[in-house]
Amino acid sequence: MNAPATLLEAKQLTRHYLVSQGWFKPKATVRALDGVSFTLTPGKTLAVVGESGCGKSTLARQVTMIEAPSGGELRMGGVNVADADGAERKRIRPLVQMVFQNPYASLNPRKKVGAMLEEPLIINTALTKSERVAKAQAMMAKVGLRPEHFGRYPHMFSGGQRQRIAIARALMLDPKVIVADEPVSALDVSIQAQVLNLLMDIQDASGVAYLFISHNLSVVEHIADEVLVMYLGKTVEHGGKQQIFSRPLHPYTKALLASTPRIDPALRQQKIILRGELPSPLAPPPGCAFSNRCPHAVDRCREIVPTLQSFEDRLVACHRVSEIA
Amino acid sequence: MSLLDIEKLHVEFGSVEAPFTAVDDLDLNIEAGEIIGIVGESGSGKSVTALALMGLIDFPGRVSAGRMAFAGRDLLGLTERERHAMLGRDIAMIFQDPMTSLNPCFTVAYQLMETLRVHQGGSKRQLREQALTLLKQVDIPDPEHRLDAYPHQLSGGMSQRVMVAMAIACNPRLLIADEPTTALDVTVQAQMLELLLQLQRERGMALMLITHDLSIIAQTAQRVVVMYAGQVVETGSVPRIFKTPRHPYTQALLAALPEYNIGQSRLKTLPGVVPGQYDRPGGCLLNPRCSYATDRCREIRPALSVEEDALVRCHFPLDAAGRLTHCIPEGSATA
Repeated sequence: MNAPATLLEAKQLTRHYLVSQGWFKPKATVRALDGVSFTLTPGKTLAVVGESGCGKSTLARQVTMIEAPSGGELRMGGVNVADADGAERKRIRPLVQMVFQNPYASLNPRKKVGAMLEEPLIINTALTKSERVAKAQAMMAKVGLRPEHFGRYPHMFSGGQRQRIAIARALMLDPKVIVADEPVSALDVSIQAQVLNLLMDIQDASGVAYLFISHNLSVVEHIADEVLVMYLGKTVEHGGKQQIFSRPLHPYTKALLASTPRIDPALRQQKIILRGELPSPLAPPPGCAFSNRCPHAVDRCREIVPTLQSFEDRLVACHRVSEIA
Repeated sequence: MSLLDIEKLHVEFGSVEAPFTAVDDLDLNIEAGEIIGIVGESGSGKSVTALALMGLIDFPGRVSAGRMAFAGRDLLGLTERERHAMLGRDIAMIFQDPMTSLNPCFTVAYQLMETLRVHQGGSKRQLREQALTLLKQVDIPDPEHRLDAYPHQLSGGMSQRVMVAMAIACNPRLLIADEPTTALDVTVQAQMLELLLQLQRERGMALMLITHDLSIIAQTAQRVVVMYAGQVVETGSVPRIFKTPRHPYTQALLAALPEYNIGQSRLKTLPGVVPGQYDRPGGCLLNPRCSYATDRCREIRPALSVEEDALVRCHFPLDAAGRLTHCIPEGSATA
């Protein structure tokens, strides 16, 4: 088999926001997303990992075309999204769908499940009512909902079932890419396993690519093929799951893995307790953004911004990677 | 004598005719200086237990207990006044969401000093001095400056540190932490747990850690109580319960974690959901989701029984290898 075609390609994707600091002060720039590149291929999962404020959700907004990036390039099936006209965009948009974190907030409480699933079809296709119903029913069966759920409202469902509805809704237009923003973090452990399995079953059956955003590393370790670690809008480490989990190289990735609580004492690593918290994106430290929390930081780190470079089997943005590896 | 001794705690909500039992016949004892973990999914009654203990359940909730004693003192017989004097001093609690548990209208110093003033009194200067010491103890950077900050000027991790400072202000003998790290990032969570453990060691206080995250319990607690739908289903020491769970629910919960499925393409799942107010089954509460359930499980609700080194609420507890110990009666094929 040939190497699978690239579904989506992001090159140096950037999104800056201007924020007001008061009436007479100049506007400040928040570099929420600062030059992130990756590609998505069919049937594969790219996990984006990082703490709150690192730009994960901004990335999701760019990829789903909710917002236009302020720099860089987003190519979907070979088409540059920024250059596409209205008709072209209308064709591209259904290819990327999204599943949100909180299924209690992402479903309209006044709409029945059936209506929610039909809505994308009404907008984007010319199917008749009976065809739409048939399609919605088939999708419900696929995600493990019963036919009688068709006419029910979201409040009649548990969290796990709601997330199934959200997944079904995202799948209605046969997307090529699904952006899942923390899809299981609001769910209980036993339900989380059910939903993760469902996501993987769907991927096996349809070859959809996932951009899986999560802060839970044990979930990422289970579902991802590739991992991209972000810190303050920048990629700090990007590589295959096996490589990153077995041997993290960037000090931030190391700290993240070491901070993740483990049940098996054999899996627990020497604790690296980071001092402080994520710096304000309004005033990031000069040089490496991680330098003020990094146990290995030297003067060079505080002055020069490290670039993402290929190191061994992955990409790492760290001046001292060859010394601390 | 245990520090905290609860027998047959029962918490009900709703009308008297059709009550909803949030906590059912819970027995719990905590020794001085012990770290105990309470784990369960949402709706299992773990937070309600802590609230009942703190006397924070208001009408129409109803709390009853066979016995509820703290350091030999009966909590049930206390007057409202005595109870208030005790809470916050001997038993303190920190809550899940630090952003909403601090009062946004007052400075950090005011809120810390209020706790100290109510329970011990002193001049304003002394109290401020003490508040500063507390902030230093919880490792807040630049504490002098932070005293006059309002909660909205603090990050999540910092607010939670202030909450911890308030909780330890009067040297409590028992600290209840209800999901103390759920709202925090992983690296900040690690800092927070480290801080709680360090304070626990230094002060020899007992720590009751309520969480849904089994791995946090595994890493910090000495003993664990597993709750399901308002009942304790299993208790035991930490290494034992994670190695050889005796209750099918504990076993299934652990098996559903990604950590227990490394290298597997799919996670093992526990079918169904935690029963809510209206769909609690007869017999064992777990029976519709349990893969070992028999007719007996569907009819008779099991009691908590001693099983070697643990308390287990199951008719057919598992053995050390995770298999059924008792023979399944003939004619009742497994569901």
